[in-house]
Amino acid sequence: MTAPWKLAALVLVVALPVDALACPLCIAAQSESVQKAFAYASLFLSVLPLAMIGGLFLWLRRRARQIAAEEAAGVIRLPVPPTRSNRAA
Amino acid sequence: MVAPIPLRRREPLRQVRRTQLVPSSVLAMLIFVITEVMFFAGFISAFTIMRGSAVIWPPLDQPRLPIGETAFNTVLLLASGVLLWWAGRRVRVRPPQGRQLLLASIVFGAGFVVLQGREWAQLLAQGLTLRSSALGSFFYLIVGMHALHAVVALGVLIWAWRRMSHGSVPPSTLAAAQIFWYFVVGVWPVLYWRVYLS
Repeated sequence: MTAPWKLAALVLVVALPVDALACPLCIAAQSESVQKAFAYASLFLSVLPLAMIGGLFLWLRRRARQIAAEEAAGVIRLPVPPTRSNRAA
Repeated sequence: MVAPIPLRRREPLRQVRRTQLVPSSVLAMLIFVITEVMFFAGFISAFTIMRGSAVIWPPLDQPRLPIGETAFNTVLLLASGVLLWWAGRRVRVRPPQGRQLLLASIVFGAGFVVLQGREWAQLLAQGLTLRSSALGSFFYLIVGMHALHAVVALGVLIWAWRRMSHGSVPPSTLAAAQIFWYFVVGVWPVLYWRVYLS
């Protein structure tokens, strides 16, 4: 490959991703309502898993602190009655 | 000759005591519910984008979704969730009353499923099918998947109720069943709002 072709390829590689990134939204660009729908859906799908996993993590941490505080205070937890699955063990 | 290494313990081993934060069944159900929420979130997002790209919505040649009847079904489902929450509280102090409340919750939930099924039959008779339009495709896909979850969750609740009849259900098992039903109850108003109202 000669130098001009290499230069052209480099220009394309640098310039094309801009269009490629816009491609999923190129249909949306025709209408404002679709643009909004894409934006809200992207935001919704991005935030939701983070919120749920984060919420679960915070709840577990709060529960760990609560149990630690109870143990420090000398609270005795009664054993859980055996279930059918662990009764035989 | 190699001298034997003295087995002297410099520090006493610390006694490691592990307390289970959450029962395994509850944690597993929570993780399962998180995946299911994402499942429905994907449907809702696709539906929102499809709706936004439609020039006329809902399609003119398609029947309107019965908002009023489904609102009543929604109230039934929410009442079922409240009854289950109440049952979970009462079962610790008065198991027979908790069992009755659980049965009432199951009856309300079954009422929701039956009435939704009747609504489907009416819509099919009016010409809204899976292939009739994008509305029909998304409606039966989203609401149908919710109905499938509702039926499975009802099965779990009935199983828990039957086990209560023959003795007692472990608290963690009942809690896992409750979480599943709360998911079915909690996700429905969002689906109702997006599919029926907006």
